[in-house]
Amino acid sequence: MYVGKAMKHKRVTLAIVLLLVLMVLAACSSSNAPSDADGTNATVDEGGAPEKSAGEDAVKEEDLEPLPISFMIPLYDAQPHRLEGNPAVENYESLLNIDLSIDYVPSANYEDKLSLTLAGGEMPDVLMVPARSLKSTVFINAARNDVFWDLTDEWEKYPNMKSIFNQTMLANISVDGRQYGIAIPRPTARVGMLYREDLFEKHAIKVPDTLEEFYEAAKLLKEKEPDIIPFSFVDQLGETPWNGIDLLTVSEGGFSIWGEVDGGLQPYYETEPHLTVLNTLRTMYSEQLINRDFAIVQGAQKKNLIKTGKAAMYFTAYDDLMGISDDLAQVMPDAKLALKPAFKELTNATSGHNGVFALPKSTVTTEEKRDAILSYFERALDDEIRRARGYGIEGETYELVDGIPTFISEEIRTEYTTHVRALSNTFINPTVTRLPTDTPLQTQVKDAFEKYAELAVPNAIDPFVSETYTERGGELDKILYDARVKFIMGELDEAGYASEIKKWRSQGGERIIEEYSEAFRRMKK
Amino acid sequence: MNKQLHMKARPTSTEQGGRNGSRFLKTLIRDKWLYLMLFPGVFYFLLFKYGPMYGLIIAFQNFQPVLGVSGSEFVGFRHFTRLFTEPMFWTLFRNTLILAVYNIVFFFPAPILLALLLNEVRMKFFKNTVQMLIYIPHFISWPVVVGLCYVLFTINGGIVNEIIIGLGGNELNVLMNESAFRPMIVAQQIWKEVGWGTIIFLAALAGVNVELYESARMDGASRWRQMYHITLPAIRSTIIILFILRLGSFMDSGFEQIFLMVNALNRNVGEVFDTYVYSVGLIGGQFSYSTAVGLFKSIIGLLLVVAANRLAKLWDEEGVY
Repeated sequence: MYVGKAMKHKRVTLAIVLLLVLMVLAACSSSNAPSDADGTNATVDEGGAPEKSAGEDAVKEEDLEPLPISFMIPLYDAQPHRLEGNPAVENYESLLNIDLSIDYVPSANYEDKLSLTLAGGEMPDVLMVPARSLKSTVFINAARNDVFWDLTDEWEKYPNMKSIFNQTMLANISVDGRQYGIAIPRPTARVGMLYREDLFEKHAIKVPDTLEEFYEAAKLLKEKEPDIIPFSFVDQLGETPWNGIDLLTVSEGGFSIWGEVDGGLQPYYETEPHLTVLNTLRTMYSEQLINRDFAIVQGAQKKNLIKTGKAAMYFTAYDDLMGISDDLAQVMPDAKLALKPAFKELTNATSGHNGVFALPKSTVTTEEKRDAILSYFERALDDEIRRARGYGIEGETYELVDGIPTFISEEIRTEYTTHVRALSNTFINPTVTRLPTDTPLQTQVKDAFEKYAELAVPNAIDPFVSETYTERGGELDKILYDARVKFIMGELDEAGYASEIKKWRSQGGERIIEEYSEAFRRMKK
Repeated sequence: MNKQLHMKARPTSTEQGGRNGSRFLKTLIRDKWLYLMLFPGVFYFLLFKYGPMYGLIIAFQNFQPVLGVSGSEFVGFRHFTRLFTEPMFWTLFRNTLILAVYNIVFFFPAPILLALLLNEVRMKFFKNTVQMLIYIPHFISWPVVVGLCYVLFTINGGIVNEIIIGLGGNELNVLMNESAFRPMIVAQQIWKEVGWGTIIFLAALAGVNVELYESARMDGASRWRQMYHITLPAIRSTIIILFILRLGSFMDSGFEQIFLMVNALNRNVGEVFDTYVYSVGLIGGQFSYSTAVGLFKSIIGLLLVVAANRLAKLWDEEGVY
């Protein structure tokens, strides 16, 4: 009897354990998209939440209590920074009488995180919205649904900010003509070619100024330096403004992707200048003047070839000159990198901003708090604040030498610049600031920013929103991108390329053209 | 075998509970530890699996995060109509389906074969070492696996191609090639998960009575005969149950792996529902639409599980329920 009961017990236990195992197995295999979408509730903005209620009271007695501001910003460093015990941050906070809390999100995941935050996550006081996300459905819907403060009429009160915003920049960040955030200014002319000056000089090759010369230079380089890849090329979705395609197209007299045709707007995909550029790249690919894995290189690998001295020419942002030069010097001390900021004095303009800082109404609940945060951004542009941010405390970390702030020692400089990285992306800056300490390379880059700002060719659709594009653009862009890559690699001929563009038109491209043209005409009136 | 025990155990306990409340209470007290053990599992499912399902409502709404689930406007089946009329739909459907079939045909049997092989190994030390080693790839994340694959196979100085060219062969371009994409995906899956997959089968095999083998040997059965008549029937029900469960996630293609392996030259065969949901839903922020796509996938999985379970029952096998 007893034995029998024990046996039965054992069986039941076994059965339950087995059932549990199976349930867990089933659970592992059945997680699907809907539950993912709901996972948003789990994303909690640590640190930001507890201070919020205290924030409203603090505004009124600003003189006494520091103003708490929570940020959500992308992180470009490997590790998140610590704010407590960071002397650079503490100095900055006490100067401005603020209390920062920052949610650093790795830059690679920033768009995902932003989407989820807007869909119901915990909002910070200041939400950084990168340029690419400004035209996304989530942001536009949020802006239209009154999620953020409309700041369009506020700029008059803030002379510092007003002085560094230009009309193009403000037009480009607008949703339906209103600005729902503080623009983060960035140079409009920013894309150029880095090249190995030492190699060009050694073999007496002319630095290219046209598409044709570019091809000739690559050919000569291949001949003289067979171990080096003449042109380090990368092509990913949305990469054309950076990888030289747009710059070369513009130099051939084409559009910076979109331009005006007969009172409407048209993209460059089938225009002569763009096709000439693609054909040249196609020839270069077949002659092995381009790295052959250009379609699958991404992220940090992009700059590897030029950084390690394995390539001679590379298109990127002007300001990459310094960083890449430093990296190159470590592997090849004799190598010398130079910047060619434009071809035929032309380059493609970027939008002039790097996104916005948006202030959600759910956390910035009162006009007082909104104004307090705007004042923070305004004061952060003052000269003495900027100096304090850049150099720390006079007498402790820096002193004035002939009126020029100079770090007391090299160790202090290294330590301070590491600490102050915690504050990156928490303020705005003018696009170009000259410093007495600029190196020749920095001066060269800043000259280029200023010289080409007016000459750069803008993308005509920057200020506009197309409903079809926000809804289907991601998928449609893939058609264009795939066609371009396949054409360059010789997998598609001109007819094949044309039929892909036709496919793009019929699947929504035509509607996108109409919507942009419509918006363009409305603005012109 | 264990399954049968479980099937018998259940009716008796409900009978008892139904007839007499105090007896039910008695059994409850008697088996309190069992119920306590069951509780976390049930709680987990209610909280993390059934709870979030209410979010499926947004597949039938024009969901606006600002308005919330309760405030968003209902649009019926509009998102499903959009999905089925999308020019991409058939490409996505075909790619997902073919990958799923590849997976079932090539990946699913692999751990079974490996488990059978391991089961035949008689040297304990060797068997354990091999088992340990083949579990390791499971713990390597997909980005690393894909990264390794990239370094090995890239045509811009990848090791494999250097060797092939060094030996006088033709360059092998598997990373940017439509026809190599699916075999590549399945090969990676097998490399990464085959060892881990053997665990359940090895556990089932460990339960086989050694006396059966002994008597078979007495009767003069060869190794092959023993495998066919003893080993395979012993794990048959395990295989069938795992197969049915696998069908539940039939349309899941493994997002991370595919997303990382897809590029311009293999997108025609590589774009699947999972990657589509990511780019439309998360990046594009169209939550309702992507939920509809996910729901569509899940419904197919559910139908397959129900059908397979019926079929298993029809053939006198134990299903999953």
